[in-house]
Amino acid sequence: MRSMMEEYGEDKRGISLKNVTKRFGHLVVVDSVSFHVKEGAFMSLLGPSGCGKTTTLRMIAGFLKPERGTINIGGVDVTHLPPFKRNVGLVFQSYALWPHMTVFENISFGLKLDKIKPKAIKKKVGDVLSLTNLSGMENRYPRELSGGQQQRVALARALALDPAVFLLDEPLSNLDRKLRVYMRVELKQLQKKLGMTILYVTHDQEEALSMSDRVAIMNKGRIIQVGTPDEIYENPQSMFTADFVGNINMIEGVILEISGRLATFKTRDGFLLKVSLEKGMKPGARVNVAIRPEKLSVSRQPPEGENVFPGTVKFVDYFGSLIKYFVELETGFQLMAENQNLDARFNAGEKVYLKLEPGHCYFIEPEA
Amino acid sequence: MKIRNWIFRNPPLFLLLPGALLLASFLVIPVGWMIRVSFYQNLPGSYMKAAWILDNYKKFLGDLWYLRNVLYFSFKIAAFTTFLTILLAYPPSLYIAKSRGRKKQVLLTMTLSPLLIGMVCLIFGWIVIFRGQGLLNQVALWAGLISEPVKYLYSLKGIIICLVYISIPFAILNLLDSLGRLDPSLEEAAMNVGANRWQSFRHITFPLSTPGMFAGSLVVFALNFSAFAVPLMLGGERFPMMGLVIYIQSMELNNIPFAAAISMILLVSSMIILFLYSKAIHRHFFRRMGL
Repeated sequence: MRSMMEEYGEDKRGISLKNVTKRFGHLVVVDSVSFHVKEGAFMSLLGPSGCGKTTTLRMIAGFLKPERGTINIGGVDVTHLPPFKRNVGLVFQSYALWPHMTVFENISFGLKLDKIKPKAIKKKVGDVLSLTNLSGMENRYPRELSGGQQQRVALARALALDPAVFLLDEPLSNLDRKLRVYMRVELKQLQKKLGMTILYVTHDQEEALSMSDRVAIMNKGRIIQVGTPDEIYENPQSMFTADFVGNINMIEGVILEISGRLATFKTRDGFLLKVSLEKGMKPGARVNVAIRPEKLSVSRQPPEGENVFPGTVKFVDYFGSLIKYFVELETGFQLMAENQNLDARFNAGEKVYLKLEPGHCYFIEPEA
Repeated sequence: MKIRNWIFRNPPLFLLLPGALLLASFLVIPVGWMIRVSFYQNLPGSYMKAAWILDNYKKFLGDLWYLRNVLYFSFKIAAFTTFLTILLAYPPSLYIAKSRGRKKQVLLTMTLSPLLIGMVCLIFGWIVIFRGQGLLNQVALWAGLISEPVKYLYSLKGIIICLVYISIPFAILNLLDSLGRLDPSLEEAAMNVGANRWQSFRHITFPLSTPGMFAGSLVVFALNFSAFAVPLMLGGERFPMMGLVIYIQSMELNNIPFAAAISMILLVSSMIILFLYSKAIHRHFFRRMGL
């Protein structure tokens, strides 16, 4: 855990939220949320729908007022500023392009309000259009553009004003899969090139992991965990994070004994597992052991080492580049293994051996 | 069997049938009959005689008094009340469009409630309010806005107030259709790029609500151009709007062919005005918005 000093101390720019709380009636939608997005960083707010991530974004943009807490943007306390006085570029999920204005008018609207000279406006619009690969589209109306192009106009409109920070509200969720993956790369490159500070709201874990410098996991109005995509995926601190980001095998049980950096763990149905230990755990503690499916190895011959269990392949889920095997152990407990589509292929009903490397298993506190 | 097959093969046509029958019996036939009668010859003191003459049209169109004091006068009143109606209906429409849930339901019901009461009842209500010793004058006197009672009854003021009052629900319905469909994020996007509330209304919401405004003004104009009950009950013969003149000619002077001809002139001129109006609007606004 980073210290408070590192989180909020020196770097005053970017976006800082401190104890921000929002209620709708009796329902606490955002519950004392604090986080910091460094200048030039790409941070994702990842969570299931209804977790409060969009509400958080709308408070930063100024459309909602928090009951408690402060919001800082670019070193300025904007908590009580109206939306039109915050230096924030917002890209909406629906793009929210003005249908009665051309691409040029959409992008130049904010500049005109700023009373910038027509010549300078023309240049700026030309610049952001070429940044977003939209040159030549100036006189089109939004309805004459494809979904991907509309999405880029929305981005260009935000870029034109050079805001201190960008807020993106699931901007890619209305695009088809291929285009979404392509836009992900394009957006990330643009962010690097221009040094944009981005807070990106999404429910798509793949998007969050692939684009972000840091990911904040949100659930039921609270930030559960903040970390790099690697930390979030490899070292989830809670059942929720482990389960929400990627797939995971969760094994309930109790710690029997600890010797050095290795713990012996007894699963509920009686298997003994060796698990490498990171933090202080005591024998007798009821915990869960988690292991990612791709870290389970499947083989026909019993491999060397710890944690090898025989089982039967119950179901094969074929994904093309990878294959998922649902393997049932002797007690009936099922584990999911994910293999690259390489040489070894197993069929349903086949007897196999599963190996759980102790270093790939980790403990997670069960939820209260 | 054949009929049943036909029904199953053409469900939309079949569903149109009751409406088409209703329209034919209550619109096409009466209007067709009216067109025919407008060419009849009027026999003063008697009835009318089947004929194919243009005298009735000549009498109206060839007389500057009818053109100026009836046709143009009706047009002026309709245009002015339409303008006033849209102006007054816009703010509440905006408010209702932004309301949610139960509040919206209640406001909408309140808006539409005048339509549930017969127009004659509404006008009698206004007479109570308008009278010399009526509510309006008493309140205005009490508030010190006026020093002696103002004459609303049998004056242009009363006619205009009442026409606007009756038109407002129609205007609100049409405006709501446009405003209610606007994505709230369009206005938020404007505020996000630095537009204050007024600027985002002026540049985003207002232009995008023009379809509803024009649809509303078409309906209201058509209603007020042919208004009859209001000028009859609140105005009298000193305010000869088209509808009233038709009534006087047919019911009081018993000149049915002339009344039919004026009705035709009302119908055709109303259609021409609405056609030109919507064409002009289309050229200026709608093409731009792709509507």
